[in-house]
Amino acid sequence: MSNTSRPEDFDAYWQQVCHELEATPIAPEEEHLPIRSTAYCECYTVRFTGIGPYRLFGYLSIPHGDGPFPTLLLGPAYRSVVDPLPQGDANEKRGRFLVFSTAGRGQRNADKPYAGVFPGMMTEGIDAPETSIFRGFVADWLRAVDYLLTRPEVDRSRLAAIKQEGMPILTAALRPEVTHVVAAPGSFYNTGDQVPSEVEDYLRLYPEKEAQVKQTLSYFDPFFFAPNVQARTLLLGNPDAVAPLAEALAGETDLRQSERSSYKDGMFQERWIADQFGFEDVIIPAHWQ
Amino acid sequence: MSQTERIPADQYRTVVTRPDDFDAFWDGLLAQSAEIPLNATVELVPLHSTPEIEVYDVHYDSLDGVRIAGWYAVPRERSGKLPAIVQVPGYLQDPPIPRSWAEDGYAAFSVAPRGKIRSNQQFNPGYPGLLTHNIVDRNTYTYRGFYIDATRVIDFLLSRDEVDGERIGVNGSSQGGGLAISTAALRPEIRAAAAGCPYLCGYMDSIELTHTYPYQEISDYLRLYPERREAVRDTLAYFDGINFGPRITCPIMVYIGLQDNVCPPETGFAVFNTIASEDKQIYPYDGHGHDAGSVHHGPILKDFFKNHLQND
Repeated sequence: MSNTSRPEDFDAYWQQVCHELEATPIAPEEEHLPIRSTAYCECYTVRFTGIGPYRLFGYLSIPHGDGPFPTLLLGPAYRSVVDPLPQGDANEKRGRFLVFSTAGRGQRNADKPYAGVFPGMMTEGIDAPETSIFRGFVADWLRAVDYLLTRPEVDRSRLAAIKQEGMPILTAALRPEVTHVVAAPGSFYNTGDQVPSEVEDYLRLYPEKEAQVKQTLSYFDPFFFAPNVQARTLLLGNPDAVAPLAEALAGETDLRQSERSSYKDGMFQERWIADQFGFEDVIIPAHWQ
Repeated sequence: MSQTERIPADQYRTVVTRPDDFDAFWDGLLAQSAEIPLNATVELVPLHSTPEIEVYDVHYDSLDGVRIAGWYAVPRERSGKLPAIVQVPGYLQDPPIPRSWAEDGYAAFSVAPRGKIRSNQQFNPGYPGLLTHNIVDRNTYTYRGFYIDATRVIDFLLSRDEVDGERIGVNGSSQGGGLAISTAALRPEIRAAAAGCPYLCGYMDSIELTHTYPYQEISDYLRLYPERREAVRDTLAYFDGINFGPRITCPIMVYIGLQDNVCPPETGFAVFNTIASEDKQIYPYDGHGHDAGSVHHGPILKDFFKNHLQND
């Protein structure tokens, strides 16, 4: 069980977001980026449109050779910076996987007209679900999937949404084309008792808003999305804390407790993705070999 | 290069060489910096303050007229002057509010050097990109101003009545580790420094040792402009933590992960070996990557600063 309550209009709220996306042309513009292209991949910047309308950004790396390619979606994270590939990942992965690393509204390269501040963005519009910045932020994940589905290079049988807290779970629930999920539910999971520190600050200043803020957060609790997630999922976190979520997920799920070593946890995640996508070998950085 | 082909990290020999005018270059910049008035603004932020600590939004001037932001946190209850910690950020990190240091009794300053959000109105090469911005010219390279921005925190702290200027430390991990090295080298007021998995040490070593971002930015640049390799190497020599080591005389600890996939452990040993301080210690954590064994090292770090800054 989650310790938050599922809003009565939860489904209608997200249906409205999906309707807005349907009504918004993606309007992509790709531009070749020689400096981030390599002997094994070409890299492009992509500008595309999310709800609002709001112009978003991504780095698209496409392996050389014949596709379609297994695909990794690295959607918007709660920070300002977006890289073509996560810090520390072996760059050679971009020769095997199509990688789409995207900036949501407020992040760098998607910061006009709205420039997020960190800390600060989390409580933007938090008084109501309709105004919360995360309504758009989740929609930006969905829009990234929509863009990928327009690309013939994407292998639709191997499309993974990767680990920016619980966001991949929300995405897979609303975009069943996502086949695999790696998630580490954090900020918006079980916010009944414990809220993120930025929200804690906000409630210290505005204690009278606690009920409405927690109501807003409940629209983003991965637990309420879980029954609609059919994707094969790797869930990272404290097993006691995430067990209810794992149980609620409709698709087959693996649980992994962090060993509090980025090396050991990273190795496990790379091995898991390789196994799921049918690769015997795993592409890892030199110091993990 | 595979593990079996690599020599042990602690036996690695760096390719970095120290320019003859390295000290003159930095002493000149420090002198230039000293002439710039801070023009600091300090504004209480009720949103982020707690019953235990006050948090302030601070801005000050730095080299080239760039305005720098930072979060300054102090305990509400204090008797006498406070020891201080300069918290320096990682490459991708948005500088956090240094709450836990303030809760432990320090005046703590978390700086956003130029190019970080809140300090990017006048200088904004972006990410990726910041690492290679003007990389062929030491007089305009990103880290010329970036390093000085971090040293200016000391000037701010020295201007505060509540701070004991004889008890200032610097702490950071990854890029923060590199900045801890440079700041400790450039400012004798630093009494203790802790550098986790230091970045910006052994730049030219790292692009051969690993193919991961952020160092990959330099590899990307050299792939496109191979004819600039010598100019890049010459510039980076002025900004390499390995060359700052001989200037460091305060107590210092360096902690690294032996499976670090971002900042190669070879470069952690290389910078440690050049540090002049007689009170230095390295903590290599096997089985750890870019976390640098922080799960084990956290209490050691706290004790280190407590021993050097809080015990009179």
